[in-house]
Amino acid sequence: MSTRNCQRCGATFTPTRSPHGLCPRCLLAVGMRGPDELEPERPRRAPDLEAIAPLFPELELVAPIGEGGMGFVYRARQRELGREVALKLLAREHADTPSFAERFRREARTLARLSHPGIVAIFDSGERGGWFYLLMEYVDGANLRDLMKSTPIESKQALSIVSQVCAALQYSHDQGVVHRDVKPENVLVDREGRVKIVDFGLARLLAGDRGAFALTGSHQVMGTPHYMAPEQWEKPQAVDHRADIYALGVVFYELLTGEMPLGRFDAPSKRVEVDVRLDDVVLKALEKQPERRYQRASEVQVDVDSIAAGAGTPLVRVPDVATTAPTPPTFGTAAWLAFSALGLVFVCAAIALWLIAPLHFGTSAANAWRNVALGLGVAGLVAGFVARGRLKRRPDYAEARRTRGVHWTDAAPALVAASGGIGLACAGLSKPNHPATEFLWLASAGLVVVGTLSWLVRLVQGWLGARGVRTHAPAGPAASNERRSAAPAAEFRASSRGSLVTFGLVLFVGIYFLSSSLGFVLGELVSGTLSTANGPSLVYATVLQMVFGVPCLIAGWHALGLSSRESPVWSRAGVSSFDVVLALFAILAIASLTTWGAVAWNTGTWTPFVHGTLNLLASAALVARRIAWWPRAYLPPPTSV
Amino acid sequence: MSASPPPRENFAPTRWSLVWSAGHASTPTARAALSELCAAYWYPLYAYVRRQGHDPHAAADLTQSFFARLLERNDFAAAEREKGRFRAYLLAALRHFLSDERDRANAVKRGGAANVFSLDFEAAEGAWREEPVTHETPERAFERRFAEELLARALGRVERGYAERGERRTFAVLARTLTAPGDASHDDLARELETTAGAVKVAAHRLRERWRAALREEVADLVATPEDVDDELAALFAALSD
Repeated sequence: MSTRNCQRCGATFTPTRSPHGLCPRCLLAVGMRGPDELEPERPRRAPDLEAIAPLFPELELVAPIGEGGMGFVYRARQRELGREVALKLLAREHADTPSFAERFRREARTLARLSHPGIVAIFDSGERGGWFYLLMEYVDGANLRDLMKSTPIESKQALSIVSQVCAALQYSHDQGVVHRDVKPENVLVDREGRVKIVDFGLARLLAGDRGAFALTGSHQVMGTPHYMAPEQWEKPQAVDHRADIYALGVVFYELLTGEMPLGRFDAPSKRVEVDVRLDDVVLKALEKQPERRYQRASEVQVDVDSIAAGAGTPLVRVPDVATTAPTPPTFGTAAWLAFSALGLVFVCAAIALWLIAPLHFGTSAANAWRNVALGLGVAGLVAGFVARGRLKRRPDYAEARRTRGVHWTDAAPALVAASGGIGLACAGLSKPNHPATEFLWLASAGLVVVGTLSWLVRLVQGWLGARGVRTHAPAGPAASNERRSAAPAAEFRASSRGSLVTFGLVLFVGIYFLSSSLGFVLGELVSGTLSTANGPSLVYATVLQMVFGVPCLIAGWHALGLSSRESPVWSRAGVSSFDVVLALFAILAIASLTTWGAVAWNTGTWTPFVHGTLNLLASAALVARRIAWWPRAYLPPPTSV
Repeated sequence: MSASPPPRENFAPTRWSLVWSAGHASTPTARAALSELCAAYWYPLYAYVRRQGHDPHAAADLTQSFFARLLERNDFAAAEREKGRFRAYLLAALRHFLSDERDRANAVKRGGAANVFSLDFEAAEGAWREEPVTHETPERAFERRFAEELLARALGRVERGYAERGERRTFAVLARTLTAPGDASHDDLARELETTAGAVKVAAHRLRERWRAALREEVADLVATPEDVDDELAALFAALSD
């Protein structure tokens, strides 16, 4: 909320929390200095352009462009060549020992030897007016830290950056130069995406002989804590190129996940959706013992490049499941009643319709009505199961079943049976020998039977439960509640797999209905029999299918998020439960197509054939989309923890 | 660190070495020392638990239960190897405790854990809300809060010293020179304190010396041997660095 950055060290802190509003980092740094260093130091402010310009007459200083632990950087132009350069002045407090000038010369010569497209070139160095300086290649771009802050970095870009860093590091290691301070601030990326590493070896130069914890002023100069390999903490003077590989691993982890690998950290693929093979690369680079790490930067590059060749999926940040565990959805009473009633009525109506269709309608119309029955049945089952599942998750339901054995919703089957009774009475009063009457008879009888049976089952269960007999397979709802709070992620994963099947079914019911009704219209057109030859019932059936089909299609499409490439339907690796439903539907479509093809050929009835063709086309379109968007690399399910 | 090093003669027993030399806080003195340390550093633990994603109520509950278990039994075997440093020990023990809690998943039943301290969780939650929304890990939240707590205690120690000598005002004025020696000139400070620039310079120097001593004392209280003080300071510094 009310944070600010320390003007001296740049650290972020909350003044209201820190003692006397002082920057805690600076406060600690002051306390860490030896007794002989307690005199106030010179303020670390970038010198003004006017103060520096006279020292560098051959340069036209343009603007200060950066300031860090190392010193101050200015953008400049060489008057003679007109070339853009970067002038780096080393902070003066580093240069306070007599041996510094000699060491600086030595290091600068080593750095000047490095000539690689991935390393910022050094043009000149020396001392002017008490400032040690380096004249370097100017990179028109930004450092990786700023890039990470400003834009999300896609995995493809991250791999390209890491690969280039590896190439540059391998080159410098071959020249015997260890960077010692690889971090996002020291990796520059120009406008073409080319990577250039800066500040080679400066960490050692500036640390001198003082060791890892040589802290001058308010900053630390021997590497940056979180990027330092374990051995760099222990023996800062004895590190080799493998310390760079560790730091590279930290940068890589940060690029992929946006976080630092601190403490016991997760593998990258557990934080974000990335190729799991990258886990091995990152974790091997981050091995605590140098012997177990990658031994050469080029090895990292080879692995990264081979993964990059097969991966093109953008990085998708997923929410941290551990902290934002979704609660499983539940139903309110009204929704539960509506869904259960709809489910039961649909199922009973479907059975009734299926039975009476061939008795009262011609072949075409009977088939159409049986389609309606099938669709009704599936829709009813889905609605019923959804209602039942979501009711069981309600705390009041679980509590009631545990303590009393029954919940008031257990009385609902009695209501169903009663409504079936009303239906039977109505049927008795209706016109006999009419399809609608028979339908009402059958459906109402179904409701009575189902309602009565399930009411009896509940009563027995409640009676046994109240006597302490376990009637639930898992050890009571209380136990399942505990499991849920212990593993909310696993719970959600399971339910999302279930929802893929459920909404997959809803989607296919929609497709089936629509293709059936369209098939009727087209088929009759093809056969030239689009008339009242089959009576008005075929038209009713067709309209009914439309009425059921459109909402099912819309609901399934929306719930599965089919428009988005990130939908689990498209992005899940391996065979998802939706794939199974899709495959079953496609097989059904093919089977019906061959059968009805023969029928159409022999009898000239084209309706079922067109219906099957449409089903097949729809499933083929879904399969094609699935193949086109198939995740090339293995992507774990987004909720894995 | 297989055995707790005995306090040496030239090193006055610190609270933390007291706890361990006594063997798992079994004596009343050791228990008092441990509970004093816990009372001082509970906010970092609360921050850790909150950052783990627990709501304020659960976090307060978990923090109290943790202290109860720490003081009653102190049986965090996993934290044994960290016993050289209070900070590392505390974090390891808390992690251990939280994973136990998760395993038992009895967060609902636990409810009325005995309150060991009267901790002002409302104020803590207020402080927590004051904090910036960051993506720092629970470990990092803990380390940072711990360092801040320690600094506040050390500075409080210095301030009390000044107050006892009746120089509260001198401290208040000079405190800001601790971290920003160049920002205010000695002349300005001298005017404010109605003294001379030379005196201010000396006073500021003395304050820095006292600060340094107080900080080291505070850290020494939390480690087992004096050799560990520098390492601990470096670790705390790392925790405060970005």
